[in-house]
Amino acid sequence: MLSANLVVFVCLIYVAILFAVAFFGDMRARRDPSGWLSSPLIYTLSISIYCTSWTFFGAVGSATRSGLEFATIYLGPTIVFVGWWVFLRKLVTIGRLNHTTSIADFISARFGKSPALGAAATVVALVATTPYIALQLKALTASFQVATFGGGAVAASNIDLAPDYVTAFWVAAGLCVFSIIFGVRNIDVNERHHGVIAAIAVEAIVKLVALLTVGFWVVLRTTDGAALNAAHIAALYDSDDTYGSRWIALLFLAGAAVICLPRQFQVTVVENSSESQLRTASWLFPLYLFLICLFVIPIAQAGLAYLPDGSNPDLFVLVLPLEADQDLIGLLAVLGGFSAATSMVIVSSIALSTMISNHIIMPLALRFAVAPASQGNSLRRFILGARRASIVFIVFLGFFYFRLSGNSDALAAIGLVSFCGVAQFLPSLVGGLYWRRATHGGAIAGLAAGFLIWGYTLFIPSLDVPSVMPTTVIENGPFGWAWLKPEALFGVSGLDPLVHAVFWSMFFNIALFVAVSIASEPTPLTRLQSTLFIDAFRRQTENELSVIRRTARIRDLRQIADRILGPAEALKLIRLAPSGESAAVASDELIWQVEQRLAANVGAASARSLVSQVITNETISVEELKRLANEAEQIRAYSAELERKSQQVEQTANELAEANRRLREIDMQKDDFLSQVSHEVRTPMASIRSFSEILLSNPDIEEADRRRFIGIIQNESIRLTRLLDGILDLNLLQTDEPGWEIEQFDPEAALDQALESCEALARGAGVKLERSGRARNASVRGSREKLAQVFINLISNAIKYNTNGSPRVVVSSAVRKGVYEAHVADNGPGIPESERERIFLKFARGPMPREVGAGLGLAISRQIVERLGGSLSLAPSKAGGADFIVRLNQ
Amino acid sequence: MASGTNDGQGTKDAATVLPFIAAILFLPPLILIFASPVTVSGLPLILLYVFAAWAVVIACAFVLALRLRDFRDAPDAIDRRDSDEGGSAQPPTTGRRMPP
Repeated sequence: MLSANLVVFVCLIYVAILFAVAFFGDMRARRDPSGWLSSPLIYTLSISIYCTSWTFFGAVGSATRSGLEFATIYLGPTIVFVGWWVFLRKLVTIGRLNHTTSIADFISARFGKSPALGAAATVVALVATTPYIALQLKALTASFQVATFGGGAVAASNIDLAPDYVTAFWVAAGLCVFSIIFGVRNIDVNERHHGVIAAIAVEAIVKLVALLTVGFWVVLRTTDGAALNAAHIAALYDSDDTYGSRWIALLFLAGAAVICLPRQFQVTVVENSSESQLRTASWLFPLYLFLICLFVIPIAQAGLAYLPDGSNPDLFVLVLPLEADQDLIGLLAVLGGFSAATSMVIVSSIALSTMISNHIIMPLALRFAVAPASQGNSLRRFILGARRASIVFIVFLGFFYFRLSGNSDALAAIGLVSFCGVAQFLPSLVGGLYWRRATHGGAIAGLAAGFLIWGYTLFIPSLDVPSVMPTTVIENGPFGWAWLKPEALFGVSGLDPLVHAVFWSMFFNIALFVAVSIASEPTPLTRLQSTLFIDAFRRQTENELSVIRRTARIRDLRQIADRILGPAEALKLIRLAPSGESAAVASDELIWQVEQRLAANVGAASARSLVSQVITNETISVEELKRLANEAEQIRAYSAELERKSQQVEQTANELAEANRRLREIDMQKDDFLSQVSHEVRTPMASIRSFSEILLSNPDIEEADRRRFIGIIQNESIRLTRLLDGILDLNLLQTDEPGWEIEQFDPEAALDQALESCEALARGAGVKLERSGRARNASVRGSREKLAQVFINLISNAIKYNTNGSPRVVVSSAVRKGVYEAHVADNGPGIPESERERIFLKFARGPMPREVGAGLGLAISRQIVERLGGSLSLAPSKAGGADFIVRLNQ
Repeated sequence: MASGTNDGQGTKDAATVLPFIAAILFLPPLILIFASPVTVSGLPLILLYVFAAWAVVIACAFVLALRLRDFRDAPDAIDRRDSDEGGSAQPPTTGRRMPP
């Protein structure tokens, strides 16, 4: 037994230390806000308020009754924290960027800064948390009573001690004082509660050390041959009961609770100042839970082995050392439980008081104009007063709950009931972070439905108060309607009541959240907020500025800032704003900044209504909103567009490469052409020059030779002229519209004319010129002279290049399918396959020419025929001779 | 686990997968395998399994947290996942090779 005075004295000393820690923490934080008080270690230790007295004492009790089931309460948070990259990181980042003040603020801000949603969330949080606070008070008084019980701790844990409400009252009062002094110093929640957090961190260390000390001591003691409790060990294997649906439901609830409990949200999201804190907590917090759980089973074993039957397993941690007269360890256990319970109550009351003042008192005060409107600090004092009153209200609500429920076992189960209650936030929270379409109506409907079903199926039955819910209702359903039995809703029976409540509440919560969201249209503000929340990582600088256009006078804005933030802060804020030419009217940026700062104090919804009071004109740019909201679609469309563009570019590049290739080819042809022209010109020029030199240098040359030389010079000159004429012709054809006489004529006439012209040449060469089939009634448009020139070219070529022994040229013509077709065929050597296209190029000549020509004939002919809209080609090669075809459309 | 790529995508993927692996480890049916009356040096197998798996998960989280610290400032694209409600077309992952 410990002396009551000693316990009280030690506790008071401990509390004094906590006050000192909080005080110096606050002082230090004011000097250096980013000092070691913002370190990841302190952050992680503050998160460990998850381990309340329900853990400190209750985990061993739960392990004694249900084996490993207790571990689910710590495995769920482990999964959530090691998975921080998936969900927590986003949640915490958004909370930090938006200066979120509480979970109710977060949800209300996400769904269009809805005051109604904030109030609803606050009510849910309050109802779910108050019994939990009562549980802490009960644990505190019970541990105190047992430790100081005159008959010894063992006897005390075997009888039903009447709770000592006096102790409970003073403990509650003390907690109120601490919370008010260090928790409600400033109304800006985002000026973090460094003092409180420092004290919480100390308490986290104390409770861990206490539990580990008891654990070590128990393990050392057990090695001396104590028998393990076989029945208890066997319970660990009971797979049907332990690892069934209840196991899954508990894992889910614990994972949800570590995010959704107001106090957890407070320390994890609101008090967070950097991502590195969360990164460390992702493994350090699970490690803390692991250490807390390490000795739970050994302590439970030892309790069953050494303590008499009927001892309350919830007090094993405390009674075991006391039973062995280890007073020091026993005292440490008392302090550990005290730490666990007080830290939970302090942070819960601070978190809930913020919610109550921001989401219930402020909106009501603003609506009914209760809030002091005068200048100065009155509104700040009003808010601080509201917070302080809320803390007293919350803690004493817990106290009265404890007083009413008395010594019943109802409180023992309240931990899980509370978890299930706050888990109702989960659908809106997760849906809000990932689903753009989620609406304010859906969130309210889901939350309300889940809350009502939780209350009906779990919370009210667990109260065990007949006046609220008579046992007949639980057994038979209201009005005898069996399908409405609270613990077998819609005839679903045979489930554990907790699993049953979790299933139905989450089912209706999610179903209504999704259905109403789909059925309703999000307001512009909801749409905007959803974009800001969901794309938190993508766009941290973009804000409402580009979407919301508001008009307000700086004077009015300043007044509001004065009232909430205080004159100094307000002045700083207004000075920060860029002073434009019209200083009387606030810029969008200034309005936005003021609203952001206000939101950090009174929550997003209240900040909006405050700012709205002085705003004369507000438009939300739907276009801009659409742009923001559809950014994801935009990115997708943009990338598709990019891909299309790059395909186009590729195509164009291919075309360019092709054009480039052709240009090179043409360039090469031109070079060839030029060198060929020079070559062609050079030969006659050389002969003209040499003969004229001979004539000049030999004045006494014979007359006959002189005449012969002059004849050669003349011939070569004529050849040169012909060559140049040909080139000129070709260039004219290629570039300009030739000045042809266009007429309708019979191509046969042109053919006859050509035959006549070539008559003499043929006879001279000994070539037999024949005329076979004739076309009748043929008529084409164009120049007869030019066509005749083409025929002359073809026929003279056929004569010149014919090397046959008995040379022969056959000319024929016909009209086929409306196309005039003329053939000029010979029985010469023919054109080799490789030359068939080349011969139409400039300066190409057939092999072994009988008479050297300019080599332009076929090129010119083809140009002319193409100008006439026809084609000149070589018939597919056949044995002996070439067969040129001229085709002209009639 | 994490591949040592420059952008830490392997580490980020591992960090994304870890909670799901942890959940599978602690849920039936996997946990039922170990819920049998077997003792290892006097300790029930299920007890050893739960605490061993727990410790391994924490160790993995520790390693990942260390690795992720190095990529803190790298721009990340992890939220492609949540914006793709319909799971529709992803942006092209490879640049097209331009003709020279």
